[in-house]
Amino acid sequence: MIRLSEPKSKEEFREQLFKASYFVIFLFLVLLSRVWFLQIVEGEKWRQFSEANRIKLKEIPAMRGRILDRNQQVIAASRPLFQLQLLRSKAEQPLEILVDQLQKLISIDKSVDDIKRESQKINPHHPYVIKEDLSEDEVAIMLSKQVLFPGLHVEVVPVRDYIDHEINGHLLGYIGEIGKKQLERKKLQEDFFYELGDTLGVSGIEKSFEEILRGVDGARPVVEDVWGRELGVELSSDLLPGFSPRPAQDGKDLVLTIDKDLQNFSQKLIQDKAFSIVALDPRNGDILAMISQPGFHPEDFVNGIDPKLWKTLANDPQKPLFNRSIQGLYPPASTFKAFTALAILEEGVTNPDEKVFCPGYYRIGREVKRCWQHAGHGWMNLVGALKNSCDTYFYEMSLRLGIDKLSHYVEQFGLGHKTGISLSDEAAGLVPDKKWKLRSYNETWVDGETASVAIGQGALQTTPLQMAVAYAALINGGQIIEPRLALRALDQQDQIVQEFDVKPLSTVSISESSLQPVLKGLKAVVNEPGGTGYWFARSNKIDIAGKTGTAQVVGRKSGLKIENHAWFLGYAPIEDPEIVVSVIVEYGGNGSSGAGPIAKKVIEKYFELKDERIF
Amino acid sequence: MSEYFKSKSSLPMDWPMLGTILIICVVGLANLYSSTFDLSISKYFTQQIFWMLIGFLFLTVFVLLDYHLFYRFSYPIYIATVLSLILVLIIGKSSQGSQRWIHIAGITIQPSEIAKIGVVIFLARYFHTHREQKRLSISSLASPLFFTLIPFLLILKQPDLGTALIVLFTSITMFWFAGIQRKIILISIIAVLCTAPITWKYGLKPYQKDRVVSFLNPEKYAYGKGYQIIQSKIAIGSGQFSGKGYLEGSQSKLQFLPKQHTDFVFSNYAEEFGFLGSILLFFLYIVLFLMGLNIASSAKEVFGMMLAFGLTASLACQTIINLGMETGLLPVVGMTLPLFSYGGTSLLSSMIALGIILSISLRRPAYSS
Repeated sequence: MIRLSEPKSKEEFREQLFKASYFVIFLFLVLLSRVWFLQIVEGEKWRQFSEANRIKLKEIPAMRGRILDRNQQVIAASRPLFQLQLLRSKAEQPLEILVDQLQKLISIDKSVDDIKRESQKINPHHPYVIKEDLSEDEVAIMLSKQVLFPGLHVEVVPVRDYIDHEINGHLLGYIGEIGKKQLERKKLQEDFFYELGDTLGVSGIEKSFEEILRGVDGARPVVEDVWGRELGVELSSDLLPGFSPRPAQDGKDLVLTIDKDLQNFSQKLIQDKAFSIVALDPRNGDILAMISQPGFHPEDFVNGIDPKLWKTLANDPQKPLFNRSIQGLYPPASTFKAFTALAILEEGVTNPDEKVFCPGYYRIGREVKRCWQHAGHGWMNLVGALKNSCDTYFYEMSLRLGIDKLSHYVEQFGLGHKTGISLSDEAAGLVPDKKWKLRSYNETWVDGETASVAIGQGALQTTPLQMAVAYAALINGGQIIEPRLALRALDQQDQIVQEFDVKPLSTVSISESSLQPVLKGLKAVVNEPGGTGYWFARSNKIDIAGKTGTAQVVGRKSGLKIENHAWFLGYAPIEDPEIVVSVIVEYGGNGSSGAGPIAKKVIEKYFELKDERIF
Repeated sequence: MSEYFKSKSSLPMDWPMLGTILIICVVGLANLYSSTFDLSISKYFTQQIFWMLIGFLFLTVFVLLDYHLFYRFSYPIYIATVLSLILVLIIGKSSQGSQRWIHIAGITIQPSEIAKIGVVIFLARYFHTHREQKRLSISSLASPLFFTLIPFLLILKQPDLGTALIVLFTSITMFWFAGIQRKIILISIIAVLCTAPITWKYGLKPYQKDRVVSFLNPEKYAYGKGYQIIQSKIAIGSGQFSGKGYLEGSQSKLQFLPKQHTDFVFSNYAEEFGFLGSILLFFLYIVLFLMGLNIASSAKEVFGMMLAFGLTASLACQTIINLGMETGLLPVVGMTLPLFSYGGTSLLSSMIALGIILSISLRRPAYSS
């Protein structure tokens, strides 16, 4: 038999008890060292956890900066939006009764079932928005009846407010909630201010000048319990880094180069066609107006666009989401002849007096190229060729010059390159040459193509903005200036915090002897009888010079006559021009009748407004 | 029965021990006031004061009662205990998935709490009776083992793992105290470890397994099963050296720490009183248990020794397991901190145990002091 135990005397038991005492002390020392480890060694870490449990930063929303036109007229501001919010945890009535009673006071768009379903997905201690945008009257009603509705309260959140409801969406752009992917990408940047649910500029000026317009949300440390119930504001100065309160910094105001009145006037000049107008000041590159129609209302995007509206916009054959001024690529047609004319004079292939006979067509080898005037223009010198937009003259001269010289010359005017305007998705356009042809089609260049390019057709592609910038260079001494959209940024006290300088990019050297005949030609287009712009672009209020253009629309359907795109590039006054206007009307027909009157009206309006503002 | 109320006392009341009990109770009450501050104070705090008064009444009764009564009635007490444990499984009221309570005539009884004391009384009597035996044979060892396992398994069945473990650990210490060779105890422990995988697979309820898993890896389950442990560690750790101050503990005030007034009452205490407070409380418990062991060593006869030792061991087991669990050293089992946690049953059973210990103290021979 195994001995299982020793017989014990009381003394022996007492010894056991001593051992037990030591064991108890030992176990408590183990526990104490554990507590020492938690409270002393790791104490700071656990304190931070505890603070992070206890204190939540509650956002103080910042106002987005205003957008003003060059005359300080407000285009877009921020306004407080009054939301009716429900805290389910504090509501005392069942939702059905609450909504029913509420409906007797104010209109509620959401159905009771929707409210019930949606609100139950949210933490009862967190607010659920019953109504997005309360009117002033409704706010007054809700504030006076607050006591009757525990759990309901009116909360103010800032929202974009479009003072100018007509403003072109392409120019202004719109704002939207930051997406998850965008957030991840932005997080990598150094000065990161965004959180999920924040809004930011998504397109247009709102996007390009985001850094100026956006405010930085402030925060206040709030004590919350485990249920997310707010118990008060933490005032202790002994807060962990990152938990300290900070005030909201509102965004800065942005003063544009745009003249709001000119912009809105120009936008309404054509109703039924797609068109673009760019008006800029050739002296400094200031964009005075920039229109792409059809467009959209930025307001529709503020609270997230309605999917139906989005579908309509996206499927519209006139492409209202497409910004023609900077993305639309068109052959510049005869408006381009001004640059061809300059190139042939500068390169010395002719002089202004040499005449070319136009029988209405021109033979290049076996190919016959037509002049738009089938009857022919007769003997044409440079000024006459510009005035009458004679194709034959430019066919002949361009063949003497050759495509590479022509391309190289006009590229100096910025064609084929982005202008650098602070708007995203600008198109670069195309100025073709022999290399391009070889690279793109693996074919050699033919002379017929040179002749096409000389009259602004063929593979040549430009945007309305590019043409405006190029024309500005013609009349400002050859300066290529980056188009400017904003003049300055102002803080809340209207103090200038940032100025946007004029940015001359390069200068094309043009000799006076070459320039004068070209400008004379452009003047003649509008001001001499027989000029292509004489009937439609001449103004009795101001001298305008310019050039018409009729871009052939390729790929016309058989049997269906499609109208050409109408161009007009004009400037005024002829001496010391202040404004260049670039107009294209899609399927607008002839440049003279389709676009000329539009340019004229814009220019007249500009001077009318200028006079008004002086007095 | 009245003979047992006759004062056979040769010594005055053990005032130091009673004082220690009183101090722990007062600190516990103050802490309970804090931990239930944002809940319903009137409900928990006044309720606990009521239980304290009842508790001290019970303590007084058991101090006055001669503990030899338990010697005489040890086996009937044991049988009653087992019967009540069986009864609770049949007619017991279930709450939160376990059957622990019996309602009789408006009184709610938790038989597992009675069993903690009943098993100690039984073993004290058994080992007292068999103390003269030169050799404890396997058969003579098998019977106390068998009689211990019955209540243990019945409690485990409820399921009430915490109480079952206290019964088990208390019994093991009593076996050790009775003089079972270390070799045998070691072999038993190895045997238990070997059967552990089987116990894991068939013996434990899913929620008990969850507790063990989340104990082993609380960070991974920070918002699920490990939430309780993490929040408890945050509460204790954030108390740092001197604590956040009375009524300033945010972990429990803002409800981040669940069960802050019952099983996790020490976390609230440590958050508000820091390391200094923890030292003080540990010191009080050490003093209490050493006094209990001292009483055992000076008891009149082996039964008194066994009884005082067993009851002290039972309270110490409960205290150490609870503190180990709150500090994240041990897995979470439902277990209160004696004299500190909210709850009448737990308090009453602690008070009864302490009353019996004091009764033994009162009736020890004068020379041993």
